[in-house]
Amino acid sequence: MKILILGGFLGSGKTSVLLQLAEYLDSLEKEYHSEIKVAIVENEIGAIGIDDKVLKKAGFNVSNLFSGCACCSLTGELVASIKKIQTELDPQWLIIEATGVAYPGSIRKVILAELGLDATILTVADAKRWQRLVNAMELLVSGQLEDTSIVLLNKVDLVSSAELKQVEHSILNYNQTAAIIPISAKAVIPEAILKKIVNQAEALDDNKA
Amino acid sequence: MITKHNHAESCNHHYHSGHHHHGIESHLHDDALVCSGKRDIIGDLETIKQNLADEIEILAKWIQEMSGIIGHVKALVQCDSPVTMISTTGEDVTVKEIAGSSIHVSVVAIVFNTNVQSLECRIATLFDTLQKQTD
Repeated sequence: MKILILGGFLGSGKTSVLLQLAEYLDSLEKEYHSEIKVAIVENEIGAIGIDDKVLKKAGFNVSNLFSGCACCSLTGELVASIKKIQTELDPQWLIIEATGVAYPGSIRKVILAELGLDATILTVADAKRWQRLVNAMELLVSGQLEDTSIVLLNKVDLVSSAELKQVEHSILNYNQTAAIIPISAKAVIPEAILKKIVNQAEALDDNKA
Repeated sequence: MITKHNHAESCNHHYHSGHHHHGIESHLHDDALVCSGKRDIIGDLETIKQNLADEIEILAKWIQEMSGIIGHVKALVQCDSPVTMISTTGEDVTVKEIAGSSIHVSVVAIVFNTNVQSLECRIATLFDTLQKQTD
């Protein structure tokens, strides 16, 4: 079971990315011992879930973690949920959609420490609101970039090329090693980008072997 | 769920008893204020969808006017319609279509730098407005 953690601030477009990524993973023809290709853990800090209903409607196996954050208040529930998914479904891919205020790096550490499983972090950043969010809550948005392998810089259709460069430069200040990929998740994400994400996660898996 | 608070001066919604909001829950997560609510409304799906979109826009403007920062505001509209009842007493089987659509509306707002009581009142008012528009 390969694990992808999808992080990023509230409203950055995580669920839009997740829908396309999960569909892509589901379409890949690969030999695997389980029939389930993709399972999703949906974490929301609200008491009422919205995104889980959208994902279930799209036909995916979704486990819910509500009213808290998998990186801090719900770590026990997260570990239990992953164990259950591994035992009962054993999917080829597990995607964990973090809340918009979670630190994906902390989620990765919890999974590694408690279950011995490593995960690839993919963070979605909102190009349009980036600077405003950095000004208002730098610790949180920069912290969400820690340990991230790929930053999907979303909503690039809403900014000029000069603004895009500024945002990329700002992100590089916080994470020099992540690949920054501009996207517009409201449109179709090119297959080459989805493939790059898959390759990154598979490379991590190969390193473990 | 019912939450208790002191009403803000501007709170003029009607769907409460005393100082309680029905169906609205709030909590703080670090600096984020998370406010969730849901209500079932009988009415036309398309009208409710349009009215809700308008109300969400008004809510977003209000948060920003109060110097709040919007993480996100999301709403979900689910419809049970059509509802069909099938019954028998042992003779014929009767199939009856039930008129009217029960629409489940959920709203979640995650915001920063916003007063909890005011936001709860504002979301309760949003639901009241939706309900009034379908009466």
